[in-house]
Amino acid sequence: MQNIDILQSYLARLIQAQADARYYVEQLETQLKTQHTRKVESAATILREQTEHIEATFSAPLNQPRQRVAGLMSRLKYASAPWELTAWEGFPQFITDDAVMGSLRAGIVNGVSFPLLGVEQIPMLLPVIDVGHGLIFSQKASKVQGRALLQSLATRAVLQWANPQTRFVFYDPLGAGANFPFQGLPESMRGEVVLTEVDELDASLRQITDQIRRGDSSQRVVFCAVDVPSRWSPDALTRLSTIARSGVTNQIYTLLHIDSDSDVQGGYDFSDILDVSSVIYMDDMGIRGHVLGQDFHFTPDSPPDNSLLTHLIRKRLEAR
Amino acid sequence: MASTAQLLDFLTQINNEIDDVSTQYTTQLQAAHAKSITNDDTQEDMSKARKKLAEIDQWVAVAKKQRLTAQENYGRLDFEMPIPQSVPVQPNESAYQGLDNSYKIAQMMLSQIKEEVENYARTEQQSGAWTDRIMALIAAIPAGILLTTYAVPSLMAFALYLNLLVVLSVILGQKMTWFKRLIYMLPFLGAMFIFRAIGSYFIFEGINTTALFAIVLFGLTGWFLSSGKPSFMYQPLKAFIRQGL
Repeated sequence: MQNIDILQSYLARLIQAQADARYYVEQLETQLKTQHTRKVESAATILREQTEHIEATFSAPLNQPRQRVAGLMSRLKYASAPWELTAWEGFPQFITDDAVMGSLRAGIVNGVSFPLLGVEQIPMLLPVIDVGHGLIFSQKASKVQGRALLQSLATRAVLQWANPQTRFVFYDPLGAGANFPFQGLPESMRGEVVLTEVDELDASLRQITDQIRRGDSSQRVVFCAVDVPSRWSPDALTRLSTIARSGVTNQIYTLLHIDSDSDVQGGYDFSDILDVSSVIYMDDMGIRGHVLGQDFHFTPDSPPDNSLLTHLIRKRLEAR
Repeated sequence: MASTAQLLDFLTQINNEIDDVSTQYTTQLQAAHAKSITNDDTQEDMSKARKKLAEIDQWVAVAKKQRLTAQENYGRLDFEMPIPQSVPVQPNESAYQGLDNSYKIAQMMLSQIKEEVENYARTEQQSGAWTDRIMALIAAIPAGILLTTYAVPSLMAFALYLNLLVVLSVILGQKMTWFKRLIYMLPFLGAMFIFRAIGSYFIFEGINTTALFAIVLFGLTGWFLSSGKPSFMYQPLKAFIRQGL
């Protein structure tokens, strides 16, 4: 055989080896892909089984406490609901026998949440029934916010307690009733008009203190006033002290917005009522609440819009 | 009755109760997920396999070039490129093994091809070229006799004859067809006669300068051509001759 023929035979074997190598690389690729797919599927199955096992193990220890929290939040429901229509859907049918009543939401406590429990916001609750009164001290620019918060608190009080055994008294000397837009309530509950005059206030407070004197707790009275002590007589302030001392035991409660910039006649300092109240301060230092001896910084609520308010009052009266 | 403080106390207490449990739950879930992550370690194997294939491709390219050179040297152009079978003749149990075997075979074949080509070249230089050159020398004798008797019987004629011998030996020493050899010789023969004419016109007394010039020029040319050096002169000339033909 000539050299060139030998060379040609070597080349043929080399080219065949190249073709074989290509074939085996393709085979290898297919095999490895299959192997990897099986591996991934197997890992996914193991993961699913392990996850199910872990979830079964931790289900009870995690869910039972969460259910307790969910139960409490359910009981709070409307007492802690923000002023959004969706939060009030079904109102007031869902007020159950064990619902938390008697506390009024003033806003949201700042910087506190419990993600583990699914609780993103903590409502700022003022305990009123059987506990005490609600006072809002505001000054300068925060007065507008203070009035709005009082209106929100008064609205919540109306929605919780509007019934024949409860009477609301509203005093709005500067706003001529605009701060208490509860015309939807029957007059038997809210009085004929929102009080705006000093003598009207005096007469109304006299009735309330007479009720205390009689020891009559058959009818709950919720007295709401804005811009205290503007247009308050010394007599009215004296009666306020009486209500502060003895009101709670006779089911008489006050929700007051106090204008800290106003001069108080006769040096009245609200000390009597402060001791038995949840107090909210709105001033240059921010907004904070003092409730049952503890302080909280919070973001205050604004009142609901008129359409929601009208809707909710109507629903409340229908359910009565 | 509920106050914020009571609510916070209650939530904090519950939160503390499930904090440890929740941490354990999360840790176990994370561990399970971490275990389930499967690295695609097939990529490394595939990369190695492709690298081997790429090497084989390179070897084939080298071998094809060697084959071309060899074909030219042998003067045989009737060989066709081998066509491989699409499926291996001897299938292996595993693709890994098959690839490995093919790699080894390819490596061995390339080595054989290189060795074969080198052997050929060495043999040509040592024996084949010299025999052809001796044959060329013998073939040039009649032409020399013709020149020295027919042309000017001088030093120049002798120089031309000497040069002709060198050129002929180089050309005839190449591995090629006789027809090509004749074609290669024509320009040299033509140049030789032109120099002869110039030389006979410029003959000075006692010194034939053209003859000396021709001796030097043709001597150098012949030497370069026969030695294949320097390559910058030899290779372009070779390429020119190939293209010209």
